[in-house]
Amino acid sequence: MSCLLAPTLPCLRQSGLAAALRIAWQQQQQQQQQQWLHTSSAQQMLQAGLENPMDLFDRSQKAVQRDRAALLRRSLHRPDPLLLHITERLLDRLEDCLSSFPTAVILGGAGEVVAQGLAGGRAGVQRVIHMDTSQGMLELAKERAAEQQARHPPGHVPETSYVLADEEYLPLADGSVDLIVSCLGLHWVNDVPGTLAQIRRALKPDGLFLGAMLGGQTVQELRISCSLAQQERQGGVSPFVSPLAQVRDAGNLLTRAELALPTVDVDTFVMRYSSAVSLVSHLRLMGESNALQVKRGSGLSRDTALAAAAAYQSLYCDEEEGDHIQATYQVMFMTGWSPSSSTPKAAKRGSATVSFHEMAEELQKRGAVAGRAEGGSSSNDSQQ
Amino acid sequence: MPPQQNAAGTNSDRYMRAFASSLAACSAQAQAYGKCLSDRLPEVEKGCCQREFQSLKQCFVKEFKARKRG
Repeated sequence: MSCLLAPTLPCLRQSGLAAALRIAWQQQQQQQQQQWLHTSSAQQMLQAGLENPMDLFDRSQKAVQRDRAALLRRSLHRPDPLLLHITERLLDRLEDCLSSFPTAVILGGAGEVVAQGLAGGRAGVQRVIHMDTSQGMLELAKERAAEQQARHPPGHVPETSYVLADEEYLPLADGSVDLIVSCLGLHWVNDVPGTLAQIRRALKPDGLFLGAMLGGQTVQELRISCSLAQQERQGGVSPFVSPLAQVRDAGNLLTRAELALPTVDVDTFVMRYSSAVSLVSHLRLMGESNALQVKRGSGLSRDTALAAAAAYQSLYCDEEEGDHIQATYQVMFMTGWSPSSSTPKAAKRGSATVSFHEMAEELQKRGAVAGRAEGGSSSNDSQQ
Repeated sequence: MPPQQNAAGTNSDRYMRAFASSLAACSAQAQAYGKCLSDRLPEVEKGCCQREFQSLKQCFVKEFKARKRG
């Protein structure tokens, strides 16, 4: 493990001038931070007991919530269906890759489900490093791995080390791992571009990053119901659902971190719940409870909670079962490779040898049907 | 600190179950309140659905007191 920890001493090869400049810059930053901290708004926030006033999410509270979520999930005998579905869709992308990834890192989120998915030598994974901010989640992952190992021949579950670490401060040396998977972890990170940059640096050349984040449309119904109820009950609106990245931002995040061949695709699930209360319970089980730093009072007052639940029930009732409600989950699946000399570059304009028309004809000849997906029944049957 | 627990589940579980079933028992009032809000979209002001909310709350409190024990 020690070879994977970033060096804490400054690099000895730097010249004295560069080191002096760096120290001067750090001192200037500290001075500016001190000056800002004396302003009244910062003082108010500090007095309200906030950890770092400039962060959106309270990471320590999120760790506590994830501890509780781990307790809840431990009593389930199988993984949560939504988490399992999302994880399978994410890991399915590994099947499209020809390379194998001996060392994999699992970053937070639905970690224990990802670990189960990577077992059995999938994508050539031999060693796994499981990182999480929550001790409870690591314990849960250890338990699940042991159960899985008991059901299979020895060597099925890859050798795993468990590290208590924050995604924003990755304790990984540059160019040390082949695969990093973050399934539903990044939308609670304060500095997503910074984390993605650290991920890119930690990957070896031609390493792969797989990420699944919740997108802007997720639980939009809950957001709207809470806002309406607050507006009617209290005359003002404060955020109870965290801000989520929009789909258009996901591509920018990947290119900004200099990950090559970025892809983003979006899946939208609509789930049916018996009431708003069961939606909130499910969110709590998945570790998605609210961890925003800025909260008026101590959360929803009872009147407002009642109003929000009633508004949700009547505004977003399910079409099929009228007394149930609907909730949307928009999941953005992102992939990116760390650049290397063998990364394929975009072709020069005008260098195409085949036209799209010819490609479409060729695909149709091989059984694809233009337009609808269920049209190609004959080719599907022959594949089965 | 581990969550407080008794035979019927943790305190927060019981509260949530009582909340959910009380709300389900008052579905008529809840629908009325929701309709009032949706009629006034997007200009919802403070207290514009006060009457509907009060009838919902009365129904809810009655149901909740009955269920809080179990």
